Amino acid sequence: MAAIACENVRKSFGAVEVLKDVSLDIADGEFLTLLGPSGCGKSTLLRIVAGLERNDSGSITIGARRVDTLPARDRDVAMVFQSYALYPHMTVAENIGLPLSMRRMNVWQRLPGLGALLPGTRTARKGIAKDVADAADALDIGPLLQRKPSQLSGGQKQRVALGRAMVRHPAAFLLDEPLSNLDAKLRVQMRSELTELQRRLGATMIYVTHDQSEAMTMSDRVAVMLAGKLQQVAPPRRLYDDPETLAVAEFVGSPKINVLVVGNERGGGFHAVRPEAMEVVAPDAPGATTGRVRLVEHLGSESLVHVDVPGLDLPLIARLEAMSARDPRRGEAIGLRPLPGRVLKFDAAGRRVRG
Amino acid sequence: MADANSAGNPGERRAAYTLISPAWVTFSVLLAGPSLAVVVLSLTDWQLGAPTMNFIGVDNYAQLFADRVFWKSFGNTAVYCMVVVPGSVFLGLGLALLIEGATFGRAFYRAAYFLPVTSTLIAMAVVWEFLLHPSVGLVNVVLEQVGIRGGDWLKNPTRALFTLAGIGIWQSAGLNMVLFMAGLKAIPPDLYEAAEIDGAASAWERFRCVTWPMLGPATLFVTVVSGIRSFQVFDTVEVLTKGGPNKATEVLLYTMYTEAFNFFRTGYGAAITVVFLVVVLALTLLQVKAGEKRTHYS
Repeated sequence: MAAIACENVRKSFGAVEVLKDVSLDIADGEFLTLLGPSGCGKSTLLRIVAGLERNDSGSITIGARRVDTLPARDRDVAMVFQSYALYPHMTVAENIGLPLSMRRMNVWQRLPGLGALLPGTRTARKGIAKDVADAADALDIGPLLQRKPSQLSGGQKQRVALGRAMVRHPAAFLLDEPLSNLDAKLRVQMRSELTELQRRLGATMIYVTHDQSEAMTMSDRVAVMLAGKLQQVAPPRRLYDDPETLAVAEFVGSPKINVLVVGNERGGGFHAVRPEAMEVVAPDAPGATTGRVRLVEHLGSESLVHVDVPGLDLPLIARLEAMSARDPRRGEAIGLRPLPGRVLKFDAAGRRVRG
Repeated sequence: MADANSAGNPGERRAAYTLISPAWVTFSVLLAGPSLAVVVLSLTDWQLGAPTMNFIGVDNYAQLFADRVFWKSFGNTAVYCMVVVPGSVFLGLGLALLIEGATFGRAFYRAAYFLPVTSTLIAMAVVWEFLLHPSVGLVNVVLEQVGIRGGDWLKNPTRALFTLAGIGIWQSAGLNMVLFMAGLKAIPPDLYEAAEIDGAASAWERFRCVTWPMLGPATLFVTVVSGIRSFQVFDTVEVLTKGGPNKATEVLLYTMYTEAFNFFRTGYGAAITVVFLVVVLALTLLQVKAGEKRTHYS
């Protein structure tokens, strides 16, 4: 296992600048998630760390080694792809064992048939079979070793892909949206399994996703990336409660944070309030924003109240505990007021203003 | 069909038969009928235009299998196939890999190598005749420049069949190339990246780990199609050698053609055709069976 450092990494595809001066440190054994909408450059950054793409400038360090110019196979990282990328003609055991046979056996030993006659092949194969069995047991796929990928379910394929990654104990795991091809229920289950696996292996993991619930539930820290720039790198809780930019505040959290444009003598800015930090008050209460209820979403444990406010394009949303009080009715005129101390203030450029 | 039958509703059943009737009619008239007619003809002594026809059982086949020329012809066709199939399959694969890997001029090379497929082989055979002319042909003129005496490509009995095979490879490599390129396009790029991270160090390793196994279905299809096509070799033989010298390039279809249309022994020609059909059928079945088992990984 090893720490990873990206410094001033830039990358362009043609005229499009995909990564704009990205610097990021990942500690040894840390689970770091790169979170962002599609096209923000998060996968590109991961592929640059993996060695599948070259950075135009800047440096990548894994452990104590600078790896920018090394090919992917020499960087000692393992990758799990969204499509799993299993070799369809190989059994599960062969799939998991491939990274080992590539490293422990030479070209001649790997030849089918002839390779078995060469010295060392038998010992090498035995060692590989044992390591493969160990990895398979750790992932509960021991009974599937002789199957082909086409005979596996999505979740099983996912485990095989993980097995292929962990079998050679790489310096770091790189995961590119590994759960997005699974159905919703399995995704939630794999989320906790994956975190547990990461803790157990003490592995450094970089996890790319556009799904904020994955990012929030699994990570030690989340790096939010928007339009090729790192916006904020922080533990999930801090990211939600204490965003550095308006963009992060808007990207993280569902339903989206309420944003009000404010203007004063020193220039404009934004006030942002999380839906759960809004309280419903009488329309004429002091400090209240008045509007009409457009929609009430009952979600069981809570209700979301959408309020149309004259002069605002989007409705304001308040999240109410279901038990707290009577839900407002549609069409009713009500007031919304932020709870004391829960307003996040941003300047005109979207940067956080504290105090 | 099965559903309509099991439903047992007469109206539905009638509709089902009506709907499949065009397919059945064309299949019977264009495929099954002629094939059956050939099989029946092969059991008669009919000659083209003759007023009478006698049923003579398997006499045609007995005569055929006792005929030295038939076996020579069958053997030549087999040798031709065994040269052309691997030659054109591997050349096609090589071209496809080179063109896919190229950074420029892909469209040009693709078109250039596909040209022989689109051109009429009869016309191209005439061009080859000029190229291969012993004294003034381009091939020998070029060879002479580097000090090699080319000799006669088409009249030398040990060489003529292989010359034709060379033309066969030239003609079908382009089609195989296009089929392989389609196969290459279908390989998910993720697999190459996974192989790269897993430690596949060289182009050869990536080929062995990903390209070759993933091309399995394409390779099988290309091999069988090449086999059937080269088994049907006729045009070049007819134009360039007429089966000579001394039956050295006598091939199955050419024998069939001379028997049936030069000597008008239609029944005998039909028997050769049946042998031909059986071989083609066997190749096709081989593809279906092997395809199910080995190359689709399911």
